[in-house]
Amino acid sequence: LKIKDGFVLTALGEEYVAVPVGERNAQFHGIVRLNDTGAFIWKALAENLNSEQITEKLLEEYEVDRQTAEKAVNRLIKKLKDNGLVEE
Amino acid sequence: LKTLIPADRVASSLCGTQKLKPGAKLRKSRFCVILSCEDGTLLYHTLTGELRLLMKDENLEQYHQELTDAWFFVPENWDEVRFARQIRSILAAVSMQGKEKTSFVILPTTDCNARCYYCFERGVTPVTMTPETARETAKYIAQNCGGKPVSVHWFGGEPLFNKTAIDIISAGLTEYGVDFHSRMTSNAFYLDEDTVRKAKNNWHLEQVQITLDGTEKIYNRVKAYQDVDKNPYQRVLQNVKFALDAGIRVILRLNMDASNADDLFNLVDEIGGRFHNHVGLSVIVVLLKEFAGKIHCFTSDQEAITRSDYLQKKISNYGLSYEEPMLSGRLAVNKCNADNDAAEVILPDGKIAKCEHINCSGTVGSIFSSERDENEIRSWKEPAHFSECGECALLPRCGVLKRCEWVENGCSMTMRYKSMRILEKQIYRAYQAESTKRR
Repeated sequence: LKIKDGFVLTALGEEYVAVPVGERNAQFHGIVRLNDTGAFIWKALAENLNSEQITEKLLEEYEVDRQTAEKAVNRLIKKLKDNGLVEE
Repeated sequence: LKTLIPADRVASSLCGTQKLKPGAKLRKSRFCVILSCEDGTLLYHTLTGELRLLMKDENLEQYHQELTDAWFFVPENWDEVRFARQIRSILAAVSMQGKEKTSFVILPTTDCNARCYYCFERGVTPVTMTPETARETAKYIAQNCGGKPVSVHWFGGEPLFNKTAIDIISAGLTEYGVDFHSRMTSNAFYLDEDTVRKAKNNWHLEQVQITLDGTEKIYNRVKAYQDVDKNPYQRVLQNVKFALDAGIRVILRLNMDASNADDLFNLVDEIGGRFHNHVGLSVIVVLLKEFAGKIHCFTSDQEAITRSDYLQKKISNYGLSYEEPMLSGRLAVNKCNADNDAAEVILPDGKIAKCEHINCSGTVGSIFSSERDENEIRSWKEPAHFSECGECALLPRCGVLKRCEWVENGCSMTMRYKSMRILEKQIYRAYQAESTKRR
């Protein structure tokens, strides 16, 4: 899984946003608003990690149990897939 | 509470609805401009671009939550400056389009027939565009505009000092099928009747900005033209008439400093007498201190502002004020050519720059090669940060750039004052347009 090219993730106030730039801007007209964890998962996806690897990374970074971490990763990946923002 | 202009779609989706921590103490946003009007109070947010009208029989308390959601009130410790800068940089990234270049400033020459003492190009070696470079310029534009309409700004030096280059470029663009229109910054000495005809038909000239420094005697002394002419002042005013009669818009720019301030009042009377309410003519006042710093300064910023305001009022009485564009909810992300990827400045030798004020050093490439200095291009886009920004309501709309010579001595009070007056005029215009619609 990988975040499609043409998105820039940047801090905005107390959260993060991922915005389409260049040609991607013509295809995707929205803005992805993310909290800390969401931005962490987004960055991991941009590095081409799979959901298991992301969950492991999340467990290293945050004090959270495996089930919650898995749930968070899968939920965000599903949302991103539903909106056509990731590619296999 | 009425919404007269909704928030910019992109800016408002970036800002979202404000989420507050429980118990957060609120204050008015620095970016909220409040003006009173016939119907009540106008609230304009310079970051979101939203304009609201609070009617006379309403009060802020009633709509506190709604206005907080829309960022008119923010938590006391909220770093709005950082937030606004983040929003601007995101908007700039989002607005980056394709690689087409659609806006060109072209300098047919850096030479000039006038010798104004305040000229920012003094000391610049005069270079004149050759016919070959002019042909290549037209070809370059045609190859890089992606078939989109192109806007050309003839600049200099005095662009009319090299009409041949303008002829060749315009003919070339027409031949290549480029849809273009142009404007010019000129002293108009050479804008005679034949040139006006050609400018209208072949150069697709829509607007010309001409500087006047005073009435006849002062103008002729300041301009100190190298050409032999009995009376350049009368000649230029006659040329203004030729341009107006041909349907070319004319902006007369009155450069003001302490030495000519009194005389400009007489000049406005003279212009008013000749061109009273003339459609297509507008007059603007520019305080020379704003960018020169080597001229006859006023004793204080306040004096400069007062004199300039008074002159502006006189201009307005003659129906010759420059009409600022309608207030748009959309936040402009480009300040000028320097931070606009679709814009380039073509110098007489074919080099490409990002700023037409050629004493700003640094070119980024050439029309003869596709190589570009990306570091240089990036450096032109760097925003300037001044201590005044932290308190300035205009910050989200400002975007002033670090390398801009206008701010080499910092952000002046006169600049901020002028920008705020322009914004206020735009807000009132939007309100009046809406009131007329409602009635």
